Amino acid sequence: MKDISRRKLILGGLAATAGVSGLGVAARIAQKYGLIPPDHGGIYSLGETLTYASQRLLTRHSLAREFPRSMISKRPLANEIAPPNEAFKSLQAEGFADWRLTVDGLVDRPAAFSLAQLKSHPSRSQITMVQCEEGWSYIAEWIGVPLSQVLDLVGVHPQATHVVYFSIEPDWWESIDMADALHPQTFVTYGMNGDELPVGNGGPLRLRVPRQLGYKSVKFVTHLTVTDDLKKFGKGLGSAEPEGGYAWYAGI
Amino acid sequence: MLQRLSYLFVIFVLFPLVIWTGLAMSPAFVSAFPASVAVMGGQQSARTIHFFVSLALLLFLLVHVLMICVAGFRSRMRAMITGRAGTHRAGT
Repeated sequence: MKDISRRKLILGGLAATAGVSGLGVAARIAQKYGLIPPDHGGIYSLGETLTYASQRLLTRHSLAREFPRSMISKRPLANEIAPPNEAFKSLQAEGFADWRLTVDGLVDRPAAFSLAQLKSHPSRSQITMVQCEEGWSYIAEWIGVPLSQVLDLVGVHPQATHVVYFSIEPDWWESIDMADALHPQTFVTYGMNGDELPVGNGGPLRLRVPRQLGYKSVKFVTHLTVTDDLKKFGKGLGSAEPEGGYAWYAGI
Repeated sequence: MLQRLSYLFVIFVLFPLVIWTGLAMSPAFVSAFPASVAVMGGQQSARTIHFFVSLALLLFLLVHVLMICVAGFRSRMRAMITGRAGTHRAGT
């Protein structure tokens, strides 16, 4: 052990101190530019933060892969086996005529859109893949209105940082940052493969975030809130998923 | 010779492949670099390759540890930590 001289020890200590304080400064800067995910903390935090920060810095505007019509999956897995709750069933009995998407928070004109109102806007479609954390995937055509267009209608305040969205199922909610909220492929979808969106795939209304894993695409969406502080929602981790051990940022 | 070949294989084939297939399963990474998954035939193929390469790496690790145990656990550990080739003098 005599190989380690005092000089080496001091140099090593200085390097370690510089490294740690450098990390501290880096964390401050990253926080300022919105590069820290809301669920930072825990043993995976550094990895999650590095993934999120590097993808936001390098691939903020990248487009999810789109597929030719011939590659659409024959049977898109309808994984919603558990029947939705009573509130859903009574809306379903009336053909979702009373389904509303309420939009509030940091907006000029809070609004509640019916499905018919959403469908009255020019529709967009994309043929993208749903990739589940569990390993399965399918390719489908998704039809809807870009979320950015919905946000334009209500007038988002400039200090907004995230959009939080809720399912009609209790305790099922998610959030995305403005990079994803304004992304041209993030849709409020009401159709699939040229037809209505089936309940098993999240109908009548599902938010599609194709650059992230399937669980960010919340089914049966009824409510959007624009915010600048995710701490106010749930346990402050940004969505319901991190409370169960999943990552908030699912671009992985 | 066999040992060197297996090291070369692990470092230059298995590790790059496991990193590549791992990235190819990321929807955000693929959105930026679609070719990374296209040459592999899609995310599900990448997932399969990733699974078997990870098994191969696990096997390599197990055999590695087994060989350390066979060659003398204490002397190998000492050699790795202190940098001194394992001589069997007691007390050093």
